[in-house]
Amino acid sequence: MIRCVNLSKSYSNVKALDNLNIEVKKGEIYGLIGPNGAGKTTTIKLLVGLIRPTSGSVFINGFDMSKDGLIAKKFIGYIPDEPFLYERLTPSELMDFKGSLFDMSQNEVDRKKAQLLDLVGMLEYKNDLIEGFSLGMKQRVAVAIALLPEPPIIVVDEPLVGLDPRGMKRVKEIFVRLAEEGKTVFISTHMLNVVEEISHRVGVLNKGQLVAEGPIEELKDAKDEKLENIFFRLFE
Amino acid sequence: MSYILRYFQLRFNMAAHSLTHHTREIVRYSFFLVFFLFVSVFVFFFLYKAFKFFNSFEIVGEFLIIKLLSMIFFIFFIFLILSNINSIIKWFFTKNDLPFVLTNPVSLADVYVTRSIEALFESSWAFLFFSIPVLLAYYLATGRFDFTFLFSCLLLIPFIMIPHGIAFIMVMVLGRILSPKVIKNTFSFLSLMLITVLVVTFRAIQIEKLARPESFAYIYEYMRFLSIPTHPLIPTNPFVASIVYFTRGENPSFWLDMGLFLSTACALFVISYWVHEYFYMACYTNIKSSSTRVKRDVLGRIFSVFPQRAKHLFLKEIKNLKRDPKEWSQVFLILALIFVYVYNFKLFPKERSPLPTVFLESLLTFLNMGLLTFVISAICVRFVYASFQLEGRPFWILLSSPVSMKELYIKKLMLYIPPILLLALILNYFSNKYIAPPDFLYYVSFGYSILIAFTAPVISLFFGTKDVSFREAPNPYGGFGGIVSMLVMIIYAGITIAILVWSSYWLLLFSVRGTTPPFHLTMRFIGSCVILFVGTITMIRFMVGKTLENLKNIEL
Repeated sequence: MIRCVNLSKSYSNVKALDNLNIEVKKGEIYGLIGPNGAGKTTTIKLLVGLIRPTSGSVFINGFDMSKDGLIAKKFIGYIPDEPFLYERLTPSELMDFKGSLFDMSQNEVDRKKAQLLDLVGMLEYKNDLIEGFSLGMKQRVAVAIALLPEPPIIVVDEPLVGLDPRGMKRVKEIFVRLAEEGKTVFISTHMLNVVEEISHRVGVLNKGQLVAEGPIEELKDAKDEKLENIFFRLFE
Repeated sequence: MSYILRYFQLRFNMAAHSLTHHTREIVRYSFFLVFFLFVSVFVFFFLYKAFKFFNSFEIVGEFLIIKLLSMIFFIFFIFLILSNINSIIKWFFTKNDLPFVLTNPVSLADVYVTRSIEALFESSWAFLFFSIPVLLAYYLATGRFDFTFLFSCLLLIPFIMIPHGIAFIMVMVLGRILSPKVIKNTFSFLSLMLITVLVVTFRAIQIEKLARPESFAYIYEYMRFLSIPTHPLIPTNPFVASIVYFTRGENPSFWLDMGLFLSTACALFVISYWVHEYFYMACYTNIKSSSTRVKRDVLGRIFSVFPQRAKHLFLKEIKNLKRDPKEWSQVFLILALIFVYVYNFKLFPKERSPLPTVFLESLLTFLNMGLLTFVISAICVRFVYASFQLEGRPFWILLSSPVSMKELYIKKLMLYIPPILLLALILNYFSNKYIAPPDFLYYVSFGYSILIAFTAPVISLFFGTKDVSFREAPNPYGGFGGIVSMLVMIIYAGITIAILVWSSYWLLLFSVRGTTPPFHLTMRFIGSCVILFVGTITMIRFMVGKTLENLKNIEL
């Protein structure tokens, strides 16, 4: 579903991403981890088409993001690390807006938005202006709008920032359920325990390069070794 | 004290870094400096002429000058209070660095001094820039320019401290019960209302009558024209009285006035500090406003005639505008400008002009086209130019969705062109009603209104999408790029009007005489229209292409 081929991105003279090759299959939860400045957010932004690669390609469901961006974007639901939303809209209006961008009919949007807002615990606030929401509430709305068009791929950057423990549990459960339904989830995070808990495969990024990749079990030296230890071992 | 020094050293270093590493910043600031110098030179000459004119009246001249000076500083004073309210809210409540400062061992006194200086400078620099030419004009026109001019300039510092103190106390006291956001919205709304009222009042009282004192039946009426509140406790009065003393030396209560003025400034500084110490932290915790519930979606029903995507793109723009009182209250200002615009033509004394009627009507019609361009370009800079920048950081929602930038661009034009076209046609219709041009010119100006209503938004978006940064706070008033786009629109209009004048004037004379114009004149006019049309289409095509390129290159 997701394929990065020799993907590189430079900002002025700084190489943020260097020849990255990743492939994520249908129904898989892929966790991308790495220290600050490793290139995780750059990778995510390239996947969803917020930035363009210096070289290489991103294929989403077989469509090249650089050439067929409008088709490729139809398959992606993106949840950013900072949930900047249109503050003077309500969650309900924002979902109508998002639905229209994905060519969904109003009936379809109406049917799904109540269900999704309920899922993220925001149904009672559906007609409140977003400007009065806390960070966690905005993050939950961002999750709901990403899931609205029922995209087969969910790309998530730091999904649990600002969420309370109940919100974190709820969002993790959503990702697991989506993967069970055959959707692909690509997560970039600092929270190693989250990746360890829900990911099928992990990619470790450092200085723009993929230094390790595979199922967590394969990366472990010992059976009971924690992902945290693997992480530190890789960077020592 | 060391924190205050370190703070301003840091601010200075940041400004120096910004100037030395970003050539664009230097160009931007130089441009603004030249622009403001130009405006202040204009202010100086205008007021110099006015003061000189008043000075030529015996007995009442001096009195009229003082009245005008008081009026100017009284208006400045009211605007300083309103702009200080905005700056105080920004520097004391909403600046991003506040959580960092307040969670470090920085005393409240240091916070008060540093932030007050920042807010004071931000809200008052323009006043200082324009009040010096006012004072210079006064000194030179009355022929009393000497070293006391410097004292007058120094008095501007306590002058700006008074509205700052008043605004500070108002914000802190209101901040106990209202969130800073509500205070800011309320006062921004009031500022706009005040500007609207001032614009309409100045026009409605026909201020040009001042130049014709003979049009007043009594001298009393003439003086009432310049009436402003005159209570001795209004700070502008002792300020103006002190300046008058410097130039005339005839104020027996000078020391009382001066003492009152300076002690008010100092007392307000101290009282503000006490208020700050007592209220600030309580107000700061009141920043978060509660959610507002939206009850009915009337707009949604109105726009349901459009296809789904267009409907929601339009609704997003309109709701953002409608739910911000600062934005929608500007509609009142636009209405005031329309009133002034049309009223100017209504009052124009055509019958007293020595120019032949046809020539005057043509001149007025073409002048009207120029003014129309100015109004339309100003509105485009305010609303269209910034429309992409105002998307702000939520732009990721659009950029990560399967919607092309071309579609977004077209939808923005579809949303903004109809109201601009309507406004242009209304202005054109009503102004022509009073100008009463010959039919031929009426159609020319009608065609021009349509042309400018389509061209101006394209030019605005061309400049508004150049190097657009969604990380920076949006500047709804356009900034440097906005001024450049306005200049381009005015140059375009200048060339267009010049071509129309050149090609249509003789044709007009024949049409007024009721005779058939020679063939070459008709061809000249048709050829000019074709050239204008082709030229405009070429320019629009170029700008649309470049705008789409700019939009395609946007990265978040």
